Amino acid sequence: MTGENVPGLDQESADEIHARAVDWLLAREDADAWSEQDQARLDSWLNESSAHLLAYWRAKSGWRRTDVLAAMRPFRLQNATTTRERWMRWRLSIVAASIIAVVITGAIAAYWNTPRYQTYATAVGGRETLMLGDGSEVELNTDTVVRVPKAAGHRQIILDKGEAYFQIKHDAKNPFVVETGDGRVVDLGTEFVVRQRPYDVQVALIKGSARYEGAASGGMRRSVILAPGDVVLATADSVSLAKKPASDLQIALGWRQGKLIFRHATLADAVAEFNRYNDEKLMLGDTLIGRLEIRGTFRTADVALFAAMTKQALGLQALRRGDEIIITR
Amino acid sequence: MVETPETTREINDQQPRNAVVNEHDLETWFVAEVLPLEPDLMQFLRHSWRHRSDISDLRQDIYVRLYEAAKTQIPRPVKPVIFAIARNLLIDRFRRERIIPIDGVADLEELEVASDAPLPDRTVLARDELRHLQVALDKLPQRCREAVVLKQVEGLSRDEIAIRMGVSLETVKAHLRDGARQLIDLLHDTSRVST
Repeated sequence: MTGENVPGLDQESADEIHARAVDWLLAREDADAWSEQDQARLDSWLNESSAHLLAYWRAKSGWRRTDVLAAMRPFRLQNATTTRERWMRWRLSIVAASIIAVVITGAIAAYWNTPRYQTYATAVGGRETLMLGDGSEVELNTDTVVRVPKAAGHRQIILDKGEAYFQIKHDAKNPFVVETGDGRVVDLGTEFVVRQRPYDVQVALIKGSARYEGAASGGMRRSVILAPGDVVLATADSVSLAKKPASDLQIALGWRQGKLIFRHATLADAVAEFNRYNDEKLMLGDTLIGRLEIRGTFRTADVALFAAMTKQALGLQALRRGDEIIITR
Repeated sequence: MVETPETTREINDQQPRNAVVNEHDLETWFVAEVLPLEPDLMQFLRHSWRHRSDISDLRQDIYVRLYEAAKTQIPRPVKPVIFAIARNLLIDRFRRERIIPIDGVADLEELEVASDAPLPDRTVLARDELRHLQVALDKLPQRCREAVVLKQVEGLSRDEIAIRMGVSLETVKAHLRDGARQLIDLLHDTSRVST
């Protein structure tokens, strides 16, 4: 054939060529089925015209951009609602399967007494959404362990470790309770986030209302009703209450989109945050540089990018040593 | 006004054979420097050419002309060159179809403005990449999106997707094809996706 490269004379439309290019791309990804003959056929198609080659390059680069989606799972469409969007339901049902679920067998459950719990855990850097039977939704952040009672109608979750965001279906007759160490949060129609650390528990109320109850002593619990923006910090022997602007709370919840957002954070805070999400740990060479202030938005996995940024923006050095990146002056 | 380089005027058969730029460099250049201009280019074409059904053919022809020119020497910066090619192509079309451009194409002054409009900050785009992907995914038909999400997000094989969706393997392949075609177009031509 002649004149294949001459624009405008192709019998094949650009849309048809694009469609063919995508077909090739998808076929090629299906590694099991891809043979040498297929490769030869693809090569000859690409050689047929520049339009084919360019359409293929264009399709390939576009499709590669969707690869980051895999790093962001579970993925959440911004306008999706669980009731309207069918694929969300699919996704949620697989989340339950893909989550590192440790099913506590009857024998082991006896150890914990009744009610029996199912344990869900995320790995470092992981993030998963649990859909509870009552329609409540719980998003688990990195390195988190929760226990959920198996019995239906038992509205309770135990946060053993880590951080979780709760969107609770309110039921005044049967309030939802989140147990955290000694204290607990009783839902009064609400969205809130709870983080359990080794020495303290932090509860931030985003929407609605909830009651925080401190550790029981002598059969009594001290409790406080939380309004949006209220942040409780509870240690073994103290409970403090602070008020934070909604924007601050949203920044702290960047993890729900797989992001770490720093506004007026110190380098030490940022390093500690990154280390929650990654096995590759950041270390500070000295405490003074830890006080430097940083701003920025990062994907939780972008440790290397962050280290590079401290180099550029703060003029520091970043050295890799095994699984660690050491930041020094 | 930017003059069209001679190489883009006459594209003939002998030229591609003695290419001096290797294909790998051409691909890298095309992906890194040409494709990011697609939103501007498409906006320009849609603004200038009234037949919507021709737009993707025009885009393809522009890419081919640019590519043929780049085989001998990669034009840098590429932006003035690609818009010069686009303008010449449109003028050729107008002549061929004997159209007097009254409202079909805006006057050339306006085209200049379009070609000089600043590119969006790439770092901002990079930061918004995920959000952009979300919006693009949102535009897909439901079943296509479901198939694409199961494949790219959940990493399932085609067979597994068929089981999850309760449809045949052939249907899965069709959904993936349609979904990928539309998604790739949406991702390149961001002017169609408002975030």
